[in-house]
Amino acid sequence: MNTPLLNIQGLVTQFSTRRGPVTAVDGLDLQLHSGQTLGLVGESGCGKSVAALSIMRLLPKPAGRVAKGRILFEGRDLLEVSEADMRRVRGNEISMIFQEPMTSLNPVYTVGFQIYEALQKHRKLSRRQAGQEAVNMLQLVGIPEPAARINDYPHQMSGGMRQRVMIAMALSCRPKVMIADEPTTALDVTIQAQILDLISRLKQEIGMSVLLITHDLGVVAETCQQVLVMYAGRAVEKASAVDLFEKPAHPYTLGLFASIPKVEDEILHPISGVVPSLYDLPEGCAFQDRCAYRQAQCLKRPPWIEISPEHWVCCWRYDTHHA
Amino acid sequence: MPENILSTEGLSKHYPLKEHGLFHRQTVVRALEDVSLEIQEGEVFGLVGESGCGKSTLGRVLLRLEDPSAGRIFYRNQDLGAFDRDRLKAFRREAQIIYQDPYSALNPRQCIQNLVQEPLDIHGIGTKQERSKQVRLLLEKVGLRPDQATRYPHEFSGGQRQRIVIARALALNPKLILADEAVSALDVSIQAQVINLLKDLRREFNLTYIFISHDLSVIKHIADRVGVMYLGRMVEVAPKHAFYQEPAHPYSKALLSSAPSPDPRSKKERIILSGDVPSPINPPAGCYFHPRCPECLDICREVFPPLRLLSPQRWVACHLYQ
Amino acid sequence: METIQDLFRNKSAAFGLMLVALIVFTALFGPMLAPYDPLIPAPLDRLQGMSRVHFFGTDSLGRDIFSRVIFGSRISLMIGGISVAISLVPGTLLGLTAGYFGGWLDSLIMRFMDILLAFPAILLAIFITAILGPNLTNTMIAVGIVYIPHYARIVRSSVLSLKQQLFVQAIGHLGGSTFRILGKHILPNSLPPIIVYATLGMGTAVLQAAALGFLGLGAQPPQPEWGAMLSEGRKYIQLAPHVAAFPGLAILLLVLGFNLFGDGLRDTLDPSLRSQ
Repeated sequence: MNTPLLNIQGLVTQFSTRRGPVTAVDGLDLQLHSGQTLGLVGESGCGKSVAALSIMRLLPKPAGRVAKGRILFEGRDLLEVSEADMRRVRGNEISMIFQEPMTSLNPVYTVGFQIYEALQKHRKLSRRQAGQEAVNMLQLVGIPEPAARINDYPHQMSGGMRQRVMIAMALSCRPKVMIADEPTTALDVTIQAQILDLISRLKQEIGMSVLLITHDLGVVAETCQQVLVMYAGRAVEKASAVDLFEKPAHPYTLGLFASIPKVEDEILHPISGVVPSLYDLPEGCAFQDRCAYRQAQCLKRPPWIEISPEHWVCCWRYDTHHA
Repeated sequence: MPENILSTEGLSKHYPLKEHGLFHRQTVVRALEDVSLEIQEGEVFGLVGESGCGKSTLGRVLLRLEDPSAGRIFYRNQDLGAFDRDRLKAFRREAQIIYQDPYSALNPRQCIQNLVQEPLDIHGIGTKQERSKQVRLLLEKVGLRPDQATRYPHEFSGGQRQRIVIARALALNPKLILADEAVSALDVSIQAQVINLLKDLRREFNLTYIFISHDLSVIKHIADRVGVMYLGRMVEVAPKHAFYQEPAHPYSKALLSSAPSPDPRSKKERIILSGDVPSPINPPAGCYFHPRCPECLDICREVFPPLRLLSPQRWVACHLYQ
Repeated sequence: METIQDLFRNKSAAFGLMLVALIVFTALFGPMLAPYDPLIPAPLDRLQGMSRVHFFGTDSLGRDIFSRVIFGSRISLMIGGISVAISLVPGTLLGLTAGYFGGWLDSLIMRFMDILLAFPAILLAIFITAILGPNLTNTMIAVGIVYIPHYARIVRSSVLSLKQQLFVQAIGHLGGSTFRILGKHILPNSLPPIIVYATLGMGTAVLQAAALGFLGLGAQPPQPEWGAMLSEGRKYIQLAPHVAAFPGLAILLLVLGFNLFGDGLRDTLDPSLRSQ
């Protein structure tokens, strides 16, 4: 296999809080290959957004910091580069879109100006070129009458339109990687379908890779080739989307699937209990207290086991040496 | 045939917009337009639609938390609009609400005991000992430990808080529960726990739910009948099985096909609607859905199709079926 | 409990609390601590400097300034407490009414408050004392009235946001009465900013009363009120600066104490300022 575009190795991100340090991401390994869409799945507080902010080096300062690990982007460790270089990477090479497009846009400038500003800063275009390019970008993300809408302010647009503008800004510098943090969670289903469709179309046209962060397994199934499941700051399973959905292995992944309402009148089998507080995770596997397959070994950190080609699970259940 | 617990006739709700100027033209937001429906005792009526479609407004008007601009509501065949103070208070006892955001629905300065007990206090039910015993029972019913009663809302997780809200809603032995996006804010695994709880409670107490959600898979799981709203109008009402197997209204079809399914191999043909929901201040002429409708006819641009009976229990507002 | 711990972690707040506690202690045990009677003149000992016999020296009538400052702490705390109560209670009630019921009632109350606010505080206080007559009770009433609009405004704004909150509306949905909503839900949740403001207000009230005392409109001789003492000492500022200095210092410490304490209280009670 060729070298991944984005290669995260042993990422540990910590926050210092009043109650002491908290490890929000604990030893994350993640490979994003060129042209691929990778889904980072998990419930609130599992560390998926913190992982994304760590990549962008946008952790809230001074509370959050990357304690360990490497984030290799095209062979360069993003944790080592200077802040000025990092600014060039953000937007130019890796860009990010967020859940709530309203708060990510500046309400006092027109959307055109905001795209235009990004273009001028990163691509060094002339005023006229940048203006034309801004219209092109809006056209690209499917905004009707782009030449007119470019003078709109964010509040004059609907949620779906604003998310399109965010995507236009994120794409304006033709990044190699787009990190999308719950890009459709705040949107209605019909609009969500539009945006997901748009992202996969643009991925083809521009040839970028996407790191899609979401809690919605349906969204993952529709858009991703690779999936990584996180629980309480740790990765627990990674596989191709087909493998994961057809042969989920980790007890947490199994629990997630059993929780999704799908077939009529079938009783849901939710995971019992609640996510443990990051302040007092159990020794060993973080999922043990809610796990139906718990065994004595779970008090030790489980190893990564490849149960079928490229399908990795972090669970003692699949440890053949031991059994 | 079960009796109607709640029914409406031509219910509308318009919110006036303030407009200053020389030519003082009053504009209104048409949040709800001519909705007639019947909800039977003991059923779960699912109300779906996208944000701004009026489903929450309908819920609020149905429980008379807001007065309708036009139309009437009947609770057990009696005009709810004509209820006096005492009868309205009795109605408040029987009709309860579960809110979307359990955190903001609970007073942060009250402990769980007082929160769950408050409805009993308001309606003066039982002695002090009886009330506090009742609270303990309720907490057990919703899967919380009675010894947690002295804690405060911020000490609980989202799912647990929603259980507290549910316990409080059950305190008065209600007949009707309005669940307004009651599980939307919860994580999937917790969401499933709460859905199961709501289903169990319904069986145990013979409750009627009006279940509002934007999530079609949740509705599919809990509802008996489904009502689809678009821009303040009811466009389809159908029994669940019929609706999910064969949606009639083009908007229902689009909604169902937009919902992502958790199966990477199913490359189903998605209907992707163009454009956005129009503004309820200035809805399009004719059928409100026609600008986005993939099956639009000429008549759709001019005449609004009324809700008509398509087959037993199936109502649809679309010219394709007239 | 967490609040109190937080408060002690905040060093300036802890220092403020210490100052306040010291003054309260002095006020409580004043008669036991003071070596002399604060009111009886001793013409032979006029304007003495600091000494072992008179720690803070004596004033123009030969009274022991140390004893007078100690007795003054009682008066000052009383001024602070009573005038804050005079502004807090009606201010809170007016704010609750205006915020919750809105409409013409809101306009009526708040426009009246605006009129009160339009006058400079000290001018209004002078005006009121001039009408009521210069003495300590009237000073407290005057200072109290001047600050009513401040409380009314604070309470009104928190009521306006609270009544939109779901948990407040939910009580209405359950059939709860207006009285219950206001008393059990809105009032307790709007208290934190008022407590903070009242703490800060103690300092301000003492300062205002001292200013009135200084102008001769407040406490009348021979009461050992710090403002009046300061005013009295002013005449001898070149001859015996300590006569004015010690009551001034006492005012400074009290106001400082309440301000630091109030600031710390605000930081701990305001969840938005809390660190995660």
